[in-house]
This record gives sequence, structure tokens and C-alpha cells, in this order.
Amino acid sequence: MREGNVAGQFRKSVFFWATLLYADAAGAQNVMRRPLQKNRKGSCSSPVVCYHFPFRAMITIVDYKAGNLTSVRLAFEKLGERAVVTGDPEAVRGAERVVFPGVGAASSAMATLRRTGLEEALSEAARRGVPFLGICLGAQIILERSEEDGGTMGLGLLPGTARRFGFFDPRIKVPHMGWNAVRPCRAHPLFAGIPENSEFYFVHSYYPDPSAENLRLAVTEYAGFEFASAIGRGSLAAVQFHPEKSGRVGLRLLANFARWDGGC
Amino acid sequence: MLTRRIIPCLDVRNRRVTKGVRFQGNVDLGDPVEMAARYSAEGCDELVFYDITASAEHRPIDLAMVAEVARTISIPFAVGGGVSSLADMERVLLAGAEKVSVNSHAVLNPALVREGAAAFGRQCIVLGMDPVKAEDRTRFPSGYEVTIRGFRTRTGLDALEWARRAADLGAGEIVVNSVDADGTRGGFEHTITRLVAEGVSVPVVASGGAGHPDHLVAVFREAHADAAIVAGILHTGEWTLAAIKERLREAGIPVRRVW
Repeated sequence: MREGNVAGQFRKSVFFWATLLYADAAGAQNVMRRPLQKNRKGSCSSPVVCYHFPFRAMITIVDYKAGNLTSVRLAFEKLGERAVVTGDPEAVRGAERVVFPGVGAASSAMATLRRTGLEEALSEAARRGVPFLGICLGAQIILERSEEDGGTMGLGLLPGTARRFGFFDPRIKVPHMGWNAVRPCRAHPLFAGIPENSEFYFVHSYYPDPSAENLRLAVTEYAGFEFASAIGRGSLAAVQFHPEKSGRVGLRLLANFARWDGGC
Repeated sequence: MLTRRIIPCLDVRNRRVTKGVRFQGNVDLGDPVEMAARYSAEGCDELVFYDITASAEHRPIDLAMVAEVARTISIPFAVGGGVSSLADMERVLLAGAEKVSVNSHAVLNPALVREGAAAFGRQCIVLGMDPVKAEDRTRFPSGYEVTIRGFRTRTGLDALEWARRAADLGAGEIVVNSVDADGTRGGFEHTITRLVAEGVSVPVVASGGAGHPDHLVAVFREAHADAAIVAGILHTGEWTLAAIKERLREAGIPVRRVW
């Protein structure tokens, strides 16, 4: 009787771990299975090392009440990645991999980051060199300052300013909303396997303007104006578009981030 | 270059997609989650779900369906139907929708648009409007009057006036759904779509009347719409998204490629 229970427990436990392993591999392979293009430069060559369940770093999605994080969390779930949404500065400080999303106004976002102690925690995580991905507002407030709300100080993780689109033609819509082509300026692990000029989903009125040319990872053209749609240096990268809402190419970028060691 | 968006519209009733001409004679078309997955894989740029009878029957939106769609697809989608409060908006957005669409309740309570934009960001708030041709040019300078409750009630509001006001209040996008063209598959209504597209600073989506890819070419070229909603043209299987996009590309209209 007792033995039967132990055997049952053991079988259940084996089943549990097998399921987790399978779900992890299957989820990750959904995107990786069909390569987007032949050249997989920068991608991991050994799926066993890449996808073995217990050794994948946890992804920490920073919650600072700047918009809805549901789709970011769901995107990593679809990839079979382990991701946690948290606003706890201690968790962010010790994170192995940071995603810094956000939509909305820069000034209220920065006020929240200061009040909660997340500003320090994010700077510390970035300093430690853990892979760091800013998304949308996250790509703007990692800069030194933003033109939003009459001038707002940013986190200063990269030199530069977030500027407002200044079109003279009132027929040009701001926000820039919809799918637009992203052209990488150089090879970067985040864009591995993603065809050049793939369209990603944008919705924003401000854009990142880093102070050095080599901080631009990718550019996008809107109404004749070219802006940096991805920026970064070292283990820090940020995209103005929303990879979590950009279909297969977006999931591929997030999968690339989940496997990125922070080098480039 | 920013591409023009093609947005399939799924009218959902009791968890089934239906389609009819001017809300008459609805037929069952399939499961909303399956259809969303299929259109997404085929390359639609966004999706919109209307819980078409929610408003008339005072039924809440099917949040379980919204959550399932969010778990299934990775492109933006909007949800509408009887959204009347900030709490309604929050539930829809937290279930995973990118945008929430307001229509009748925005007319009855314009503060809803302002408060929604302040709470969730204007990119989340879509104003749907159902204009109908109006003869009285003194009352309706644009020549169109706004109707609500699925075209059942006239409001006395001029369509262009209302679109401008809604954009000022914080609507991040405006869907112009023509009652005269809806479900006819005879082409979009260009006049009011163009007036709104040129009259507001936010993106404008043309809706109602798509029956052939050339109708989309025309509404993008002549009415300057930023996006177009399609329904019957896809649901009947007569045209695929790939074929529609191919036709647009040939006509020189930028559309998103799918890998």
C-alpha cells in the first residue's frame, strides 16, 4: 500500500519534470523550428545547451506601473521562457536578465522609478553587465534626458535624449503607429536570423536620439525622417518598437534576447 | 516606410464569429480564437473583436475569450462592445488586448475617452463611430451624422465635429464605420473617411464595404486612411490576406511582409 504510493509519487514527479522539459523545448522551438532565413549567425549552435530547462536564466520584467505588461509576459511564455513580473528593487538588483518595458509619460514613469528605488536597482543591474532590454518608453528613459513634459531627466544608462517627432506637415500623424521596417546598422545578436527591413509594430510620439553614431543598432524611416529604432552598448540594448506585438519576427528577437550572453 | 494596416474584424456573439449585412441575417462563421490564429498566421496586421450584442443586451465582454486570443497570437488586437467604464477598459486591457474600442458610451459620456486615455495611454483608446449621411447641412456641416447603438439611434452630432472632439479628448485612433457601406461589399465610404483622416492628427481606420482588394487600394489612395477593416471579403474565403496584400503591393501601397 505504502510502497504503491511512493511509486506513484515517483512516477508523478518524473512526469512533472518531463512535462516541464518538454514544454520548455517545444515552446522555444515554435519560433526556432522554422528559420526565418538561412543565415543564423550569432545563434546558438547547440539546442541541448540552449534549451536545457533548469539552466536558463530567469527573465525579470520590471513593473513600474507604466502600462500593461500582459503581452510582454505572454510573449516569453509562448517562447517557453521563465519570466517574472516584479516591481521589487531587490529582485531587479539581483536579476540575471532584465526586460524594461513601458508606455506612457516619461516624467511620471521617472517619478515612480525614483520613489520606489527602482532607479538605483536598474542602474546597478545595468552596471553588472546582465543582458538588459528596454522596450518603447524603456528605450527612451534609459537615456540621459527626455524632451517630454518640458524636459525630464532619464536614467542616464546611455548618453542621449528622447526627442519628439517634429513634423511641420500637420497631415503626418503623431503618434507613429503601425508596422514599419527596421534596418540593423550592424550585426547584433538581437537581430540574428531576422531578415533586414522586417516590419515591427510601433506606437510612439518620442524617439531615442543617442549622442553617438555607434550607439544606433537599427534605424527606421517615418515620413522621410530616419530615427534610431534600436540602440545599445555592451550588454544594454533597447528597442523603440514592441517585439511582443510584432508577430514571428518579434518573438524571434525576444528569443534571441533570452539566449544572449550580453556580448556583441 | 510605415505600412498600411489590414485589420480583419470579427463580430462575436456567444463565442462564435458571425457576419451579417447591416446587423441583419447573421450567419455563423467559426470559432474566434481559431480564426484569429489563422488570420494572424496569414499576415493580418491587427485584429478587432466586437462583442456585437454586448451593448444592446447589457452583457459584459467575454474576457476568457480575450485572454485566450492574447495567449494565441502575438500581434495587436482591439476589443469593443458595450465598454462603458474605466473598469471595463482595465479588464479588457489586462486580459491582453492592446486596444479597447468605445463607441456608444463615448457619445453618452465623453469623459470616458479622456479618463481612459489618462489612465491607460491614448494609444489604447480607439473611438469607433458610425456616421450616416445627413441632408441638413446647417446642423451637419460634414454631411454626416453620428449614430449609436449599432446605427439604431441618431445623436444629432456632426461626424467630423465629433471625431475632432474625441481626438482632443484623447482617442488614439478613430474607426470610421459607414452605415451606408457596411456589409454591402461595394467599396468603402470615401467622403467622410477622408474628411476625418485629414481633419484629425491621429490614425484613421476605414471600415465597412470592403469587397475587393481594389476597394482597399482606393480608400488608402483617395481617402488617406491609415488602415482598413475587412470582414466578409476574408470570411467567405473569396480572398486571402496574401492575395489582398499582393494587389496592394502592385498598386504601390506599402504593406507588411510576412516571414
